[in-house]
Amino acid sequence: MRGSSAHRQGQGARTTTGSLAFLVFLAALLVPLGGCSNSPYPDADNGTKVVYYSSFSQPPKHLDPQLSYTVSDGIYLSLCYESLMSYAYLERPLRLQPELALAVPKPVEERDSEGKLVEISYAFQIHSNVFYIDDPCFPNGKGREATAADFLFAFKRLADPETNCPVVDSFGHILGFREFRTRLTARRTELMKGSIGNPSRSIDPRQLYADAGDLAGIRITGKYSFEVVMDHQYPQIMYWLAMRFVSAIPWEAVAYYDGEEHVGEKRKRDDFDQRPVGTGPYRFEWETYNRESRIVLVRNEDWWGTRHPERRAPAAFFPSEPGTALDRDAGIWTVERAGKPVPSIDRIEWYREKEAMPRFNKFLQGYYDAAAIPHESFDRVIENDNLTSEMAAHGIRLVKDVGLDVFYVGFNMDDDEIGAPTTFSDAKLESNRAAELARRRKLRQALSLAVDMREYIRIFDNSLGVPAQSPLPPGLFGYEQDYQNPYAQHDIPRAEELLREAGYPNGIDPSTGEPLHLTYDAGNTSTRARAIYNFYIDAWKKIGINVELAATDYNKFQEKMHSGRYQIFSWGWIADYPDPENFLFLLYGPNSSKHGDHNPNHARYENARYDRYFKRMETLKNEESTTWEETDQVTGEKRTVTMSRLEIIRVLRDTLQEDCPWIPIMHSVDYLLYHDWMRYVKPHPITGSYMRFYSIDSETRAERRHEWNQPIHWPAVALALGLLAFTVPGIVMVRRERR
Amino acid sequence: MTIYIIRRLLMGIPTVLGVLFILFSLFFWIAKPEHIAVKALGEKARAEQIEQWIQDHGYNLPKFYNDSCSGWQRITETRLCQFYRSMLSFNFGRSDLDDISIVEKIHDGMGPSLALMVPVFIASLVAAISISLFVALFRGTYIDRFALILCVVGMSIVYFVYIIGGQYYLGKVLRWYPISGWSSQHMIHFLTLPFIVGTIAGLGESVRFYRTIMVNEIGSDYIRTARAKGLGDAAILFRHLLKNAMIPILTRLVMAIPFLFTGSLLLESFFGIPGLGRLTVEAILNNDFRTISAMVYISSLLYIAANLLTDISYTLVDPRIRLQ
Repeated sequence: MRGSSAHRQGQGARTTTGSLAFLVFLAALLVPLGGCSNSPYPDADNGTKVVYYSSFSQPPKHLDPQLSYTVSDGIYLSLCYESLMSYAYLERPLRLQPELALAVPKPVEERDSEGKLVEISYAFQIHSNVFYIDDPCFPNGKGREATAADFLFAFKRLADPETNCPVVDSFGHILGFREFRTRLTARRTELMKGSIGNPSRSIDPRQLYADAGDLAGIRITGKYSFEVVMDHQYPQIMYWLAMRFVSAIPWEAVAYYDGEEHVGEKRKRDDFDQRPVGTGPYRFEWETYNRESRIVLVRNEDWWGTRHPERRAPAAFFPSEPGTALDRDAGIWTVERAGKPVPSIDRIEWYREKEAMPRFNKFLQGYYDAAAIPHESFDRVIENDNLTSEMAAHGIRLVKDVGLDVFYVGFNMDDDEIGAPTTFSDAKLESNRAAELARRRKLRQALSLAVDMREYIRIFDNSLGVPAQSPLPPGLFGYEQDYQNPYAQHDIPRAEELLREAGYPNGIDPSTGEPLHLTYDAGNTSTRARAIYNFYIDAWKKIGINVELAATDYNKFQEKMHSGRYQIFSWGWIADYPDPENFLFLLYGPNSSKHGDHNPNHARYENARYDRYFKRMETLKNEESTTWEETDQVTGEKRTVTMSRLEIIRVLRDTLQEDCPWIPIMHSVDYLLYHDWMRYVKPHPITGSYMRFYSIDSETRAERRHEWNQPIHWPAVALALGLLAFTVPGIVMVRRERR
Repeated sequence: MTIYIIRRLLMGIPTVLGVLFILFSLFFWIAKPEHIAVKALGEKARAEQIEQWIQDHGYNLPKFYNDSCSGWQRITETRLCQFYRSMLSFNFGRSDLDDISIVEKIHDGMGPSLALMVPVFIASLVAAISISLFVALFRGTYIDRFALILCVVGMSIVYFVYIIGGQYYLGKVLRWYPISGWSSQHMIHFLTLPFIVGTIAGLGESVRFYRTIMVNEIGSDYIRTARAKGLGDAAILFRHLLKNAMIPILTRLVMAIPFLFTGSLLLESFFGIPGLGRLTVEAILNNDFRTISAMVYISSLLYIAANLLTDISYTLVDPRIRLQ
């Protein structure tokens, strides 16, 4: 008996000891957990370098300046490659300034004896003594000097179908560009005949392009000079020439990285698409490069802008004058900084952050220098369009900028029920064409008046937007702040009146006796997108119209858009360059998506008058006027009309206002947050290498980071003790029971 | 057993072919080559550029039957045949999205995924089994009841909340770990927080599962016999109970192995770990057919292997089981 009791006692003791040991082990594990650091940069610089810390959400897709067309890739590329021109950092409206070119050239026109334009040319002189970064593609790995021949190569490569440049059509205005493209294709086909693989890859690309003949519109006039020639007016070419598509590109890099496979190399070479070799102020640090998690750009110590301060190139110095009156007040421009050489940042480090909240929290910890505001935290950051006191006290600054974009709800103008088709499919409607077109116009106007854009922007974009009145966003030539589109106002009584006039009293379709039924096609099925679509649908319901949502995945939606099987849709456009033509062409008849799947006029709007005026405006300079003869449609009299570009834009705007192929919704406003140790930050609506103008006070940042990120240890100890305090009584209790 | 393994492997062939066929059919039922091209080239891509891209990537071929060819080429010169050819020869090609070698992407992503998921897997297993044994030992007490409540609460919380909560409290408020990030030189520094979150997030469900098994077993005759023989708790639990509870544990464990390779979508995404989970999801979101195919193919192979391993492992822990 005694033995048995002793045995049980021993067993109980073992249980308790084992359990206690387990618990103490668990608790002990908890304590050191709190002893670490939250720095995401364990191997950060020791303060000797000025580093700018930022984040990226998607890995770079293409790092070929002639192929890439995304904003995120554009940031890296614009820092590594240099174009002929760029945009002045602070100035608004935007102005072109030279980058690799010595000056922004004026067009030189050559006319024949009858005054007919023969050709128009832009003469570019580029900086001498500009070197490419060192790279294995060059002999001995030493970067060579960039010359005008590199630009000829770049233009020829743009024309090459294998480059697959997304904006190749825009360069088709250059004399002989299309012909060169055709000849090059033929040459390549010739090489491919009877060959396996792609033999053109094994040929020096310069040789291949030479075999395809001259590109007539690019005339090399010297080692550092060339002309871009066209046989017709197309002033927008200057904006295209300022894009990274026309950068100095070394043929050696294309041959080395995109050439034939090099057998026996330890690791397959990157493609040129992933290996920038430029002349810019920064270069990739390949030793630390991981496209999925970390991208580092380091200063190009051999950059011509730094080596030649005597040239006073605009790309190499901080603007000597503020761009706008507000720049000085906002501290974006200061006398101390004016005219000082740039860049002042030695390294730019981007870390992958797919989600907005971790990115924002790290910004608050001081680990990122700048950040956008996540939707979830908007109220915490912004109050009455300004920073909350909490954020201001944290030393955070806010800058805003209206984007060069437009978001709209479009009507399919090719649709019998809601549009203005060239011919109605129903003969009865066609026989009464004028009246039917007027009815549908009023219906579209009524639908537009029913939507409250301000409310939309407040609910879905945290008030980060400007209600749109036309396709043209603020900051663009042709945008007039005082202009109010009468159909872009929220006015339900007027909408109901227009509906009555259109023959749909209270939204009732007289042919069915039911509310008029329309379809809203959308390519996003997320909860947020559905809420947006329902916002419009509810607005239209208020005037009695029943709009059914047909939300599908993006692929199916695109299919519908291509086939024209839609009535109402929503879409947006971000400008390629700051010219009204880049927005108004979205409604130019020949650009209708019914003439080509990928044409940008998704509303399929065709109006002969609009098209005529658009063509007149398209090639006109902002300050120019044009004169033409036209027949008055009422009196039949011929008359001479002279209009400035602005006046033509007003005609286009008013035509759109009445025809209402779109409900213009909004232009976005970017809110950018940055810490006060960062200075001279001004958002720019066109992607470029503006980071070169930023400046960072590393010492202040290091102090703040240290102050803000001291680990708090006591909760770990408390948790461990709590675990013990909670479980030990239980163990003791069981021990007693067993005894 | 060898015949059984061979038979199972042979049965795996139609399974894999079927999986690939379903993937191909579903994908091209929803998406057209133009959609893949638009994702790769961007929204503003021109028609000519899209056509060129489609041709370069071989998506211009008919899906199942090529009318323009003769003989066998009607079958072989199709997208499906090319697809099978590339998959079965493990020649995954280049990503549709960014033209980077898929093998290279998988190679780069495998390390981070394994570095995160293997420790999470082991720690979750050890912690779940230890805690479940502990609560089974104290079954009926307030410790057991409280643990059960904690498990139910733990199971009810969405994974996402663990991540956000972990990042907020442990990263931002207590400042113990970096909120997110990755460096192959400082893996432990960056993986500690996702490791803790990943381990804790799965504990509720695992502890409940293992506890049920342990409690069932703890009332068995052999445990009573062991106690009567005077064995200590540790010996009873680890030497006898655990061994007898191995079959359900093994089924669960081995089937989790493919996930170690494919990674964790949410953890990798939120903590910025460049693993295979993130790669797969991004491929899906970007219509990157070739990457999706490679990942689905590898996953299906791993699943078949895991299933087979599970069956084999039964014979190891229970000599009564014979594979025929």
